[in-house]
Amino acid sequence: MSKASSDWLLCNISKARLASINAIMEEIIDASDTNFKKLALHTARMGGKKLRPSLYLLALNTGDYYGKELLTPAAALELIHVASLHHDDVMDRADLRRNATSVNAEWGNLNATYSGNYLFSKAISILSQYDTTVNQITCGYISDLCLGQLKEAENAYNLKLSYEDHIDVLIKKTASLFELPCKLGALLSGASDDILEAITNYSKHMGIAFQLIDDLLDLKGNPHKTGKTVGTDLIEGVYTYATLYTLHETDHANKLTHLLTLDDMKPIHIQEAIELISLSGGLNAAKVKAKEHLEIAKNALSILPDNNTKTSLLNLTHFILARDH
Amino acid sequence: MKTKYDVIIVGAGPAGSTSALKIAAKGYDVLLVDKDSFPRTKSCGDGLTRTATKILYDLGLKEELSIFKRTENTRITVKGKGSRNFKYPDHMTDPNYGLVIPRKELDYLLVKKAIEKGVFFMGDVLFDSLIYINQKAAGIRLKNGNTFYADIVIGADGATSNVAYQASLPITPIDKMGIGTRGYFKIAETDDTLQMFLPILDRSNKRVLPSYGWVFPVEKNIVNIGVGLIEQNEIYDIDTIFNMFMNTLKKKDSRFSNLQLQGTLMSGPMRFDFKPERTYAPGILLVGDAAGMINPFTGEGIGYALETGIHAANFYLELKKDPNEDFNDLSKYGDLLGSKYQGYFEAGTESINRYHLIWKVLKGTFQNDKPLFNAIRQATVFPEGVNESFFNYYTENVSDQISEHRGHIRSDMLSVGQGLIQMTREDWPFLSRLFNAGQITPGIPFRPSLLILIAGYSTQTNRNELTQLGMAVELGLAAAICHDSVSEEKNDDTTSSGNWGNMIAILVGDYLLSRSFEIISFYDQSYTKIISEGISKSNQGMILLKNKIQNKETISINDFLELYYLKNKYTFELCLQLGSMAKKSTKKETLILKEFGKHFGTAYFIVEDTLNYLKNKNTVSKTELNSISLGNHEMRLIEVLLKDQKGTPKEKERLSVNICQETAINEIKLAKKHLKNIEDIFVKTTLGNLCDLILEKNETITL
Ligand SMILES: Cc1cc2nc3c(=O)[nH]c(=O)nc-3n(C[C@H](O)[C@H](O)[C@H](O)COP(=O)(O)OP(=O)(O)OC[C@H]3O[C@@H](n4cnc5c(N)ncnc54)[C@H](O)[C@@H]3O)c2cc1C
Repeated sequence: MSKASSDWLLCNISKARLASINAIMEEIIDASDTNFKKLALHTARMGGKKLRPSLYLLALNTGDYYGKELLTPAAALELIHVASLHHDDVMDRADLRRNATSVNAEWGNLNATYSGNYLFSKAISILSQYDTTVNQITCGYISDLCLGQLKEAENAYNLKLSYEDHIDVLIKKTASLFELPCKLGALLSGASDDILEAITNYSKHMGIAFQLIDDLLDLKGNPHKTGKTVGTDLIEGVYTYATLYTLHETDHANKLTHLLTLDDMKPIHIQEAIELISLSGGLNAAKVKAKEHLEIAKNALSILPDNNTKTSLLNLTHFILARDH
Repeated sequence: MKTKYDVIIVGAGPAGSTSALKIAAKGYDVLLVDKDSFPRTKSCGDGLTRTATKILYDLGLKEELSIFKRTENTRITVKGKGSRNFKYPDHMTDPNYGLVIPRKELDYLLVKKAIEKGVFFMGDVLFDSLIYINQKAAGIRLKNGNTFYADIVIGADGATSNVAYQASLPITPIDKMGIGTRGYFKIAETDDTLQMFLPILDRSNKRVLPSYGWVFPVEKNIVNIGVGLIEQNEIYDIDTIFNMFMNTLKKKDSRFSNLQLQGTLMSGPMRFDFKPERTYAPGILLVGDAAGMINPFTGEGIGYALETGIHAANFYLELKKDPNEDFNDLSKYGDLLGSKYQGYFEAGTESINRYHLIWKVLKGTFQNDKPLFNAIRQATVFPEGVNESFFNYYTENVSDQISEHRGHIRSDMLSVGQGLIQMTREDWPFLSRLFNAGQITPGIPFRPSLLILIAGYSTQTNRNELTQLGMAVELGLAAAICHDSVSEEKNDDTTSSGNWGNMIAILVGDYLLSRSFEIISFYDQSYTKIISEGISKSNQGMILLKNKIQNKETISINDFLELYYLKNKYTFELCLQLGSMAKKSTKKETLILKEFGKHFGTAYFIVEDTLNYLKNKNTVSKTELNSISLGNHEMRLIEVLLKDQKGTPKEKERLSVNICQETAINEIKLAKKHLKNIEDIFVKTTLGNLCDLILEKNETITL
């Protein structure tokens, strides 16, 4: 969508390849019914950051092998992401997605659920074509992703949620979809084990940092850019790093607890809660944590040769930190 | 005084006495000790489920128990969401009711029964500590200094078990336990209904504090009223909660306005921290509350106390058969309880969070009849009625239709079920509960995974691979049931701001689907390909059919069937294909089976749906226990036809039913045509029998 969002991607080959995945996605979806295709591709056609395919394509550069058949997984990875958006929007009751109507708003919750399943299983089907290892890795991460989301729901309104459990949820629900593309890219291009490990490590910590920042945006982001109302997480009991910090480590814990357990949190309470979190250093603590993980991510890349693949991956860490939507 | 016994049991509550009498009945010497003398009273709601009642009858207490109040109905009221009645399913054998027995009487009856069977009982003696020989508990020391020895010591000493403590088994500290309180009250007139109210404490809609209240009829004019809290908190103590509850009752129902308390209020701790690996130690077995076995949603624990009492007794009796047994390694007992009860209770710090989530879902979807929510509701608040709704197709026993290899196929079907329970148990024990339900059908249930086993049977096939395939498909089907439970509403209902229903439907559905893919990814990747294509096609079919119906288009039978084939790809058709591949049949044979499955499955669903429609159209009201709406019921052929027919409602119905019957017959005809070309005799005969079964059922359809 926005041009700036892929400025970090310096590798021209990857850029070119990235441009072709829209067409591949179009091809994957059954075209016998035009309305069906419209529904299934509604979200994908909106564009978006395409972070996961980009990571995959960059990781493809870490080995020696390339073949045209290796483009399709990039599309499949994006479809998995899109599928999860279809389901997320039903759960979040979101009417908008990337500033347009969401699938659920346009076609209803059930159609959004079913089309999510459709895209998801199509993607799995495509990724099962390579070899058993690819298949196993894919399914393993997908299963982590779903378990992570379930665990997050389990902990809704849990004021005592520990950092450890919180980060574990982030690893599962977010980092898994960063690790998967990197791992597949490295694996399919025949990268060495060391590189494979390095890039997996990189993507894991990137994923954690990405979500930490994403969660911060909910507390302070600009609703015009994020498309979300500020503080929804607080209302829905999703207590993220900054909130947990204020609850676990500061004198503002009682006051914040009081606000969070209110029957009906009004905008003024949300504002007050966010001010408390900010005042007590929560926002800052989350940012520091995110930087920590980005540092680990960067360091993991040290064994990669210096080229524009590496530079792009490093750029991404800055892009993520500076992200405002 | 005799000091050497076979077994020593500490605590003469329901768990201890039951264990004692079971062991003594086999002629062994049992010492049963309790800190109180009997009769004594205990803080309890006195409500016994049907299972508890049945166990007591089996122990030979039917006669003595005939004077107590029978309860056939359970009414559960959720704050702001109305009430629902729960009944034991009709097909349950006698008794299909529960009882209310004051604990003063129940526990005394059981102790007397134990003594009658030869148990040596000592009341008024306090257990002090364990005596160890070679690192194994070999006896007990009482507070008065007396010592006794035995093969094993059974800890039946309730929620604050000192036996568990002395054996260094971790138990939840008392301030982290739940707590309950109750009183007996005089009332004008009681009925035969157990009434439960949840939750009482509901300060915010967010973090509901799990709490419940009950009104149980004890005698004609006496009720037991009480409240339970699964997690203690700083703000409310149990007495305040009790008063809050009494006030609501008084406001709601004039019968309660003039209650008189008989005796005093009595409270007691409740433990919900069952964990299989802490139910035993060398020379030690724990039973009942000592093992943390109370249902956190209803506070029910007597039934589990009786059951574990019996498990421990049987476990001991089995070991005792071996004269060299040293009773050191009792871990199999933990395994046994684990396989029986995980999912009913959960352990560890996470469990409270899971309860919170389930509570929110329970509350948000209390009047929602979608299968997933029926299943959750029953599994939590009415555990003994859980068998039907989660899987309301596929329950028929088809043992007779399987022409050969029956034992083999049945045992593989069981492995599929066990596998599902074990797998879900690790991540989310609560789900294994839902799969437990699928295990109830006796014999061989007519499930899609059965067709994998039939098509896949041969002496060369890898049985493990077949059962894993079966599990994968069943997980996918369960996921579909969850996803079908998504509703178009944004909120759970008009009074709610939450959407826990849709959330849990999607989260659990996604989770099950992802697990399905995960287990299959360890085998040949062609399986993943086929399963994922099957899922994508059936979801596509669902969208297409649904939209056609929604757009109120007239749908011809042929159009309907085309979309229906697509939608049902994931069931029988897929299973036959997978089984055939696992057997390494020829491509041709697999293709024929696939074609067969397409028509066979369609006939199956048309017949089942028509029968269900006719069965439920007049009888089932919204508040009734059984769900009628598995999946999207508007996608059933019968519903589609009813919309398009002309004439009086009666005529419309007759016409539509006729068309359904004809269509089913025709589909079976098509299926049988393919069957002719199948070479494997076993597969051919068995599938033929199943076709005939569908035809027979089709014939039974009458208006
Ligand atoms: C308020 C309340 C309401 C409840 N309502 C219901 C209900 O309606 N239905 C239901 O099914 N369940 C209910 N329960 C749960 C039920 O009471 C327990 O699950 C059940 O009593 C467990 O039986 P048990 O034999 O394991 O333990 P208990 O019944 O607690 O028996 C333990 C025995 O051990 C003895 N003992 C303890 N320590 C020692 C010692 N050191 N030395 C010697 N003896 C000792 C005690 O005197 C006692 O007799 C309720 C619980 C509470 C607190």
